[in-house]
Parts: sequence; C-alpha cells; structure tokens
Amino acid sequence: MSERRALVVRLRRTEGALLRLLGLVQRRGFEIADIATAPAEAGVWRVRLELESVRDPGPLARQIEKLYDVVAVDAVGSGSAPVTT
Amino acid sequence: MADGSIRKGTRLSGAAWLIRALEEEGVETLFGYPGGAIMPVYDALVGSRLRHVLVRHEQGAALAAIGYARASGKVGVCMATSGPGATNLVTGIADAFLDSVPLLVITGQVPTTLMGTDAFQEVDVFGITLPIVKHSFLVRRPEDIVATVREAFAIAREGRPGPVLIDLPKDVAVAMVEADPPTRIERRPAPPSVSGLARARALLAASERPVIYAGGGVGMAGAEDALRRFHATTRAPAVLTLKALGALDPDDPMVLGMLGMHGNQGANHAVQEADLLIVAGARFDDRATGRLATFAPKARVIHLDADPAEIGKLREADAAICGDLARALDALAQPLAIDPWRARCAAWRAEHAWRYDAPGTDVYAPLLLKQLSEKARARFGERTVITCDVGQHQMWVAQHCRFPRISAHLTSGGLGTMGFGLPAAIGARFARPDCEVICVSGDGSIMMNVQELATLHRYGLKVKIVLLDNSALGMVRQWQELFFAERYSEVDLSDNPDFVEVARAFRIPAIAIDRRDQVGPALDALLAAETSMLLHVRIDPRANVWPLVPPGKSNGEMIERRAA
Ligand SMILES: Cc1ncc(C[n+]2csc(CCOP(=O)(O)OP(=O)(O)O)c2C)c(N)n1
Ligand SMILES: [Mg+2]
Repeated sequence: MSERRALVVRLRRTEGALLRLLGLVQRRGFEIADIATAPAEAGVWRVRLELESVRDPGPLARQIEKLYDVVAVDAVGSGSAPVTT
Repeated sequence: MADGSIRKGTRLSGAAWLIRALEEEGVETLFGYPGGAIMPVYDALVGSRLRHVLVRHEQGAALAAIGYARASGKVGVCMATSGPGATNLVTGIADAFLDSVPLLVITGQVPTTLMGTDAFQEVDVFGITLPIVKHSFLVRRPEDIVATVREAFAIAREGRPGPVLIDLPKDVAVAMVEADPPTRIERRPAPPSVSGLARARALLAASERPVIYAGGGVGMAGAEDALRRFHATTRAPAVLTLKALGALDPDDPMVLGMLGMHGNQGANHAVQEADLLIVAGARFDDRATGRLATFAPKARVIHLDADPAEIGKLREADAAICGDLARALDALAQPLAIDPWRARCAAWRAEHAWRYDAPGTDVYAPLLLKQLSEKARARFGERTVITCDVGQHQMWVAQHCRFPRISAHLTSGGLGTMGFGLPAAIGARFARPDCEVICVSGDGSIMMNVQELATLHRYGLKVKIVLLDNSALGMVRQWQELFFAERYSEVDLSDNPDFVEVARAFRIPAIAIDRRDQVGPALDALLAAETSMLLHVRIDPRANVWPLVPPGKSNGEMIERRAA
C-alpha cells in the first residue's frame, strides 16, 4: 500500500537546485503528487512536496538533507489519509 | 607566471584563475583532453606547474583521475571540452559516484550567450550528470571561479566523498577579472550525529556471535588502522566487502574473507549465523547481501557510517553511530568472550579455504593470480597496487590476490565499469610512483580503453598488464550457462585480435603463454621488466567463478563448483 506524506524543504535558490531535489525524490522511488513553492527568506525557496510511495520516507529525508543546496527538511506528517494504489 | 598566490587586485582571465585555484588546492596532476570550448583553459595551462596528462579518450581521463584519487587519497582531477568531450566523461563520473571517489570534473561549455540554442557541441552536461554527482556548478561569472574551485574540492572530499562537476562556459573562461577572495560560499553543517554508542556497546557486550562486516568506507574515512585495532581487541570474526579487501590481514584466522555473491563460503556462513553485525563503512549492497530479506537473519545491527543517509536505507539498525568511523570503532572496542563462536568460524574458514589443485596443464587463473600476488609481494613488499577490470577475472583477483591496504586494490565496485583497469593503473602510477602497478584485465574489458596503451608509451609509464583471455565475455557467458539454460548469446570473442601484436603496435613489449608450466617464469619476466609489459594468458574459456550465490538467492544458498 502506497502512503502519502508531505515534506517541506527549504532550498537555496541556486542553479539546478529544484531539478536536483525533484530528481532525487523520483529516483529514490517517490512519486510527486503535489508540489508548491514559495519564496521564504532572501535567496531561499520553501518547497512543499506531497509524496506517494510504498517506501519509508525516513531515508529519503536524509538523502535530501545531503543535497548541497538544502537548508532544512521538515516532515509534516501524512499530508492526507494514506491512499491505496 | 604561476607564483600560485591569489591576491586581491590581480587581473587574469577566468581560465587563468581556474589554473591558479587548482594549484592553490595542491593539485599536481590532472588528466584530460582538449577541444573548442575548453581551449582557454588549455591555453592557461601553458607555463603552469600542473602536470597535465593527455589521455586518448575522455573516459580514460576520468577513470585515470579515479585511479589517482583512490591510490593517493587525494582529489582526482579531470577535464574535457563541451559536448562529446563531456559526455565521454559520464561513465567515469558515475563510477566515482557509486564508489564514493573524490573527483573534480571540469568541462568546457559553449559561451553563455549561446547556451540553450543547440550551439555546436552544446550539451547540458550539468543536467545529464545531475543524478551522478555529489554536487555541480555552472560558473556564470568569472569572479566566482576561484571560490567555486575551493568549494568543489571541499565538497568532493568531505563526509562521504564523491564527484563534483564544474561546467565553465567559454566566455567566462576568457573574461578578464579580479577574483573574489576564495572563501567558502557556505559551510555545510556537520552531518547530524546519530549517536548510539552506549546502545552499541551494550549490544556488543551481550553478543555471543558477533561478526564485523567492513566496507570500502573504512578506507575513505581513514579508519583502516582503527579497524585493525578494533579487530585486534575484539577478535571478532570479520568479513570484508570487495571494496574493503586489504583492510585486514587475510592470513588471520579471524578474517573470513570476502562475503557475498562470489565470496568465501566461510564468510557467508558466519554472517548467516551471526547474532550481531558490526557494519563499518558498508552499505548492504546487493552483491554483498544476496537476497536482502534473508541476509544475516538472526543478527542485530550496529551501523557505523559517515553518511547518515545509509543508516536504515536497506536494513534497520539497532544502534547507529554516524560520523568519524575511526573514533566510533575505538570507542566501541572491547574484548569479547566468544571462544565457541571463534572456533566455529575458524572451522568454516578452514573447510572452505581456496584450493589450487585443479587438474590439467592449462593455465588455472586463480593459481596464476595467487602466484602473481605472492611474487609481487616477495619483490616489492607492500609497494604494489593491483587494478582490475570487470568480469570473472575481477572476482578471481578479489579472491586470490592479497592486498596490504584498501588502496592497493583498485576495482570498480559500484558501477562495475569494464575498461576501468588500464586507466586506473595509469592514475595509480602517477599517484604512487613508488609502487609497482599491475593491471589484471580481460579480453573483453581491455578493448574498452585499449587506446590508453598509447598513454603508457607517451609518458614512459611502468604498468604490468596481465590479460586473462578466455575468448569470451566470461562473466556473462557464465550466467548464460548457469541461469539461462546454456543459451549463449553474443558472448563469444574467439575472433579477438592478437593482443601481443596490439601491445607491440603501441610499443609496449608483450609475451604470451598458454600452459601452466610457463606461468612462473612469465610472471618473473613481467615483474622484472623495467618498462610496461603485457602478459597475454590464454585460459580455459569454460572456466567459471566459484562459489556463487545465484542472483536473487540467499547467501545461505551458495553453490560450489559443479562436477565437470
Ligand atoms: C561497460 C560495461 N559493459 C558491459 C558490462 C557487462 N559485463 C560485465 S562482465 C562482462 C564480461 C567481461 O568480459 P572480460 O573483460 O573478457 O572478462 P571475463 O569475464 O571474461 O573475465 C560484461 C560484458 C559491464 N560491466 N561494463
Ligand atoms: Mg574474457
């Protein structure tokens, strides 16, 4: 059963940063169900991702944290009720 | 010109700043191949104190830089032009990514004004390599070059190492500027330290059947001595991954050898029976674990790694310590009262020790490699580096050669890159001129970067090549035999060129053998040679690598040699 969860990533606004984040998320086996970005403080984006996967999001958050442009990652729990695929 | 110092107020081209910055980082040798978009950098190279090694294919440059990095522990540097030059580097970048090798890759790019217009030799190498770099930069302002190089080196090295790309558009390289002072753009926070030391100590003290499972991370973290101390104190049975071979003395009865698909049965037995795994710088790779769900089924796990993202990625850890591996190992070390377990492991080790008594008079590759390693040790002591390619011969090297340290065994583990061996040997030769460098290759693999024989000749390098020729893509042939009902498909190489002639055409001396009684004298001649030399060895095309965990099976289901 695939679960839906939300992650909020604060990302420095550098060349390729968004591509790198989205690419990593998909490669690690998470489907992006929804995405919203908004400027946070100067030069930083706040990216909210709704992710669906059968995989555990714990390692994903740590993978994202390793990205050089990432300032912080917050798991905000399940965005909505778990969905079955 | 190159007084090396980067002073405020100096006006230079972006390319000249790049060279200055590399010199400041202590780079001595870099590997590359020129072309249009990177010509300003090659121009700035003239008169610099960097030694540039001109290879004959950009893939050779990337893999040589990897060999250099892995043999020396420094950051390897390679460069190429835009478009095809850049795409030819991609395999090397992926290799560095999967084996966590610190590598700086510099690519020329078309001018910023032409980027995005499908200009001549424009490819989006930044985009192509996004999934296989630790980080990448596209430098759009010449005044950023020095700081970017500084930053790239730091990123390549720190934590878990990896490849970093700098894509440099031509107009940025030719523009004249004052460089900004090279401060770090942003310091990365130290990885969150997941510290389970107290819990790990308790698990270890309570364990009756602990096994140390050490991986290549031990070498990258500079923790080989700490691992040896840990092993000496605990006397816990240890198994090593392909990338950790050399970390512990293979003659020690508590060193059970390599685990996994082509590992020692004894090592796999111990892991399957263990009640505790002490995982040091290893990542539960599928070639090591077999079917993951059945791997070490009775064991709790203590996971030590520099990379927090490895903890819990494939196997839950009961205790994890992130960060400095050497410190973690030292903090954890304690004597253990596990004699019955030691005795069981020693018995497995003895029962499954390699045997070299194969019948027949043709060359038996495992025996040849054992002799090669012993003869090299007798002549050169610990000053040997062995590189290899990918296939059956790679597994035989892992099984039958011995290595005094991890950096003495350069093998493409994560990516399994055929063509790795020769360029890696070239890199190792530049990195460790005090060492004898031996490359063990296969008849398939050697052809993937055979052009680098010209690099051996050009620089008068001494690399000893042992070419194990089974007239086949042997490893694939073996899988077809065993797992595809002997339906052989595109694995026959019996029309290979005459490799002795090939070598000689590149002005590399070569000899050929095909009988077992020729092996000793041929190896002596090879190792005694004062120049590069190729030893062509014809081996039985039907020979397989044993033992073996069939794909998708448990490490507990290893199969031994089939009766012929
Ligand atoms: C670049 C690349 N292409 C294909 C493969 C798949 N592959 C793995 S081993 C192997 C055969 C290697 O043949 P050879 O170098 O002769 O070694 P042998 O197994 O015969 O010892 C192949 C094709 C690979 N690992 N790398
Ligand atoms: Mg072969």
